Amino acid sequence: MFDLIRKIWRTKTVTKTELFTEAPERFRGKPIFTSNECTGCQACTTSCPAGAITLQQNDDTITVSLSYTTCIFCGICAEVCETNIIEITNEYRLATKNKNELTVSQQATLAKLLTARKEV
Amino acid sequence: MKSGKEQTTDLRWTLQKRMKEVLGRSLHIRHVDSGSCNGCDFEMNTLTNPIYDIQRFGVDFVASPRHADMLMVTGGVTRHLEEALIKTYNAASEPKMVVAIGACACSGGIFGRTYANYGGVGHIVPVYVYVPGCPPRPEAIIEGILLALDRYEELSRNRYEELSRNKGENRH
Ligand code: SF4
Ligand code: SF4
Ligand code: SF4
Repeated sequence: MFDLIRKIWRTKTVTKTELFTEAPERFRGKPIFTSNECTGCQACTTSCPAGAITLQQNDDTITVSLSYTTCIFCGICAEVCETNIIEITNEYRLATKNKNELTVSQQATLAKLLTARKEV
Repeated sequence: MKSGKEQTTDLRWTLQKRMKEVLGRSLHIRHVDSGSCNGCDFEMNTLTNPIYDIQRFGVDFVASPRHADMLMVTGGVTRHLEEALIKTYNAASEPKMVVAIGACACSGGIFGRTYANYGGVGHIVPVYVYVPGCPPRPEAIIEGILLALDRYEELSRNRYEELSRNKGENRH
């Protein structure tokens, strides 16, 4: 109880100094794609609890889309991705007037996978 | 270029300044729970606690939609609470700014779109601003309020221009 009050006392009013303070480094915020080396393994789509990631496969390209409106920022996708192209950042200011802005896509060429399949 | 101190002072009072500019008065918010898990509701309650203390900018949570300018909706609109949401929306006074808080309110979130869940407030009432997050940080909610004010200003300006244009046409 006293610890709690002491903590509040020490923190003071956050919005007094700045309206938007930066989140702690380990805060799980916006997941981003860092490169386009996706292999299409679908580990992220199957392990995402909210179903926020969709994978669209064309002939030789693959498009991964992530919707921040559905995402619950759990960080599982960043953990399971074998090429580590998904990364969790501590960015949390995602409010928007236009819902379409909240979907990010990353396109990757499937060259490696295709040649592997031809050999078989 | 402003000095660092001035900038923070500006940021500090942005909310109050914008409210004065756009609404000309303080902003009252009615919270509508349309079937959320209470995570988002707790984050909204933190806005009025001593740490965020948003009340000193003139923002307050009120007990009736008839007193409110803004509706903050959490949860993905379950079948039972659909009626409550529509009634609240109809009872709210103009401007009916609707802010969807959380992944559930934005698009169903972890519950998705099922037979019991509409999967988003946008399917039922027009939404001004979406604030994603599960739950969003209180600061993100403050940003949502600021954006809703922007949107309201935009809409009212367009409406004003339309009205004045119609007036001009009638005169000729
Ligand atoms: S952070 Fe979690 S909810 Fe969001 S896309 Fe990744 S796995 Fe899905
Ligand atoms: S983003 Fe990563 S986990 Fe998802 S399909 Fe591509 S390589 Fe696999
Ligand atoms: S967005 Fe997350 S925290 Fe908010 S109501 Fe839905 S499940 Fe709960």
